[in-house]
Amino acid sequence: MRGSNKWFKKPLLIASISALLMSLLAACGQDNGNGGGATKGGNGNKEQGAQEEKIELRFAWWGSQGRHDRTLQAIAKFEQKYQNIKVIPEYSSWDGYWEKLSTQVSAGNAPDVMQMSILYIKEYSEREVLADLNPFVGSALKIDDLNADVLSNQGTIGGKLTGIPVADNASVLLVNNEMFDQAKIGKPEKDSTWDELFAISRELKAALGDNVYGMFDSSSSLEAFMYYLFSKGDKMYSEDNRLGYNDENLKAWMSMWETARKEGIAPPANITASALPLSNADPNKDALLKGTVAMMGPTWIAAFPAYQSVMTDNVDMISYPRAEQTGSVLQTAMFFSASAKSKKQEAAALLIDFLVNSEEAADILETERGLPENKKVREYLAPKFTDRDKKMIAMLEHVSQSNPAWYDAGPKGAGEVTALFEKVIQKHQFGKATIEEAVKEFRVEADKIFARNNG
Amino acid sequence: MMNAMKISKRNKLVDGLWGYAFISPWLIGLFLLTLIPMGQSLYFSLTNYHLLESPQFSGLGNYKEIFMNDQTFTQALKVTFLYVFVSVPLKLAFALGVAMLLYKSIKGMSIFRAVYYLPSLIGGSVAIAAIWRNLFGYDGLVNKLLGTFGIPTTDFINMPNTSLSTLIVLSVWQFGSSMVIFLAGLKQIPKDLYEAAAVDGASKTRIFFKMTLPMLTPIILFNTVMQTINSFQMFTQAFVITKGGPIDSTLVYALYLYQKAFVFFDMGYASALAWILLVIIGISTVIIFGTSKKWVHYEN
Repeated sequence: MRGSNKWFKKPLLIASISALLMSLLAACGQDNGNGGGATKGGNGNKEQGAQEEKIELRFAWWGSQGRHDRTLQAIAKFEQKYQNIKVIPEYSSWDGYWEKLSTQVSAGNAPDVMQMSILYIKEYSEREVLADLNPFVGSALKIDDLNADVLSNQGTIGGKLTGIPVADNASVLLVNNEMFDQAKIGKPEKDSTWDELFAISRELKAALGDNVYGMFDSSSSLEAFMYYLFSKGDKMYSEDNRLGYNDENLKAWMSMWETARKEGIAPPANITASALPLSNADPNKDALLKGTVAMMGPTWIAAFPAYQSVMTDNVDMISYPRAEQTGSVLQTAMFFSASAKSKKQEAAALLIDFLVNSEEAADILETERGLPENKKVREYLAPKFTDRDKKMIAMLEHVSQSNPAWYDAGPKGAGEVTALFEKVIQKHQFGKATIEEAVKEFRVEADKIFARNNG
Repeated sequence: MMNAMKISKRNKLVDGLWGYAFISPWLIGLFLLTLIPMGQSLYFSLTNYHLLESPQFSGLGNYKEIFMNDQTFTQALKVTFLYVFVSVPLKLAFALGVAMLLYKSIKGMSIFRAVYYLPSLIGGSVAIAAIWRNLFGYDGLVNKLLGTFGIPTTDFINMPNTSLSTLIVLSVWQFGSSMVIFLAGLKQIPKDLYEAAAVDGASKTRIFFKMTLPMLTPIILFNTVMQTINSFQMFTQAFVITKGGPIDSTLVYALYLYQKAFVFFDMGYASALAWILLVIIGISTVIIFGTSKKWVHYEN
């Protein structure tokens, strides 16, 4: 009996060992999932026997290597200041960030602090992922030096303060100076109308030939169309979470671009298609840099350094074309938010406060995340500003002073509607739909998407 | 006697447990990574599940929406079927052709075989997809070549009429794995059959169509099934090269599913799409097997 019992146990033993091995494998996978940053942070803080309960705070952001390096240094400073808090960094590029974050949220495993974009803050707030930071204002989190307008217009959603603005941004067009120099014509005015820019494009074409286009065709970008509506005094979305513009404006927008394409001052549909979507534009390969188009947008002031680092003095910014009012809009480049499910919201507020308000953090982060939202920090950094920084500040101030609209991220489902707009307008660009058909199709299909998402 | 029987019974039980113990890593994998997630996705497909919120049961709502209202779904189906119907036969024909060439025994043949297999190893990668984008783009190599011969050029990748064909060409180029299987199949055909045919004075084409091809039909069936299943799930190339555009002309099914799940965060809807794809692939496979009785010849 004894012997057979042993025999009975061994298989169980093997099974449990293999199960253990499996769980080890799974654990490895998780470590990798943290983007390697976790291990780095962990090694730095290895301690013999924890003296007191440490608060572990997970902090996720997207960005490039430069941002990762600076942020990790800033975190180290923060941990020196608050010995009882340990920050576990989780960083990645923009591409993977949102897939990972949404999956984490869905698994109830959201990071305590996360970098948030204007594109998603509304959706994340309305779906109750982000914490209301109001209870910490004045204690753990100071907001006195932040722009009150931005806080109430973009950081507050449904009465809850869910995003602390990090940096300011405005929409602009980028200009390839070199092409204007070559053609020996004057550069476009800072505040031009579409007609003026198209007129310059004609001159440019006359001087430089057929394979060069004045304006990048942004007609299929919902963002571009939204700013056009703002410049006309119209709005993109209605109060009841549907499309809110006048159809005549979409018709005018489409025929304006159709004429430009026919004249050859905007590129044909296929060249445009190869550069879409605009929001993913990569300065290393896009049409502005190649010298295919002389003016391109809309993009953000925050994108300027990426172009400047490749094109040096050959790139400049002008406002998004105006009509009755300016087409440039203001928005917040990014926010810091805390998770609604986090039990460490106070520590989260402390970290956000440190990153946004402290001079120690400013010394390290400088303007990597754009022009700091905090007035005092901006003044503090002013002596260190480069010519590029000054150019960006001048542009931002110019837009701020021309009574711009605020960026509107739209109701739930706006992301899908943006993709729909691109597709429907492309049909017209490729000659597969008339303006009337496209205008009608977009309204019907977009409102269907909004109806499904907003009830 | 009784005791002996008891022992042998226990031994059987123990032996069985041993077996399960040794396959337990696989079993755990099967349950944790395949069956349970599949069950979950079936449930999610019956819910309204935005990734940031918890799922809410909605019955067949997603399926109804997909079949009644979703034009993009219809477009994705069209693109996918076109892709499968064109690329699979082309790829198999190409693979068989190359296999016939590589079947001959000349010196250094194994090097040729390795070289021709190479595209299959790297063809599914993002790097190749990026190269493809540059080859067939409006200022790409293919256009430059056509231009030097005075042939009118077109922007293959960014024109709605031609973009899918660049993806089909890429798929055909990855003929390697089918080719290797065909090669093995060709070697299975007894040499004496060829000798007999030659003695009888059969022409080369006649030998190919009346002998080689029928003898290969089991291999063709296998390759057809495998390639069809794979092609229905094509994703990487469309994702990297065209992103589904222009105007959804390359929006293959798997890409549409991905967009719904991870761009628009509509998990319930995406799960329903996944189950529909599973059924489509299942039916296609059954149809291929069903027709096989008419054209596949087994020697025994």
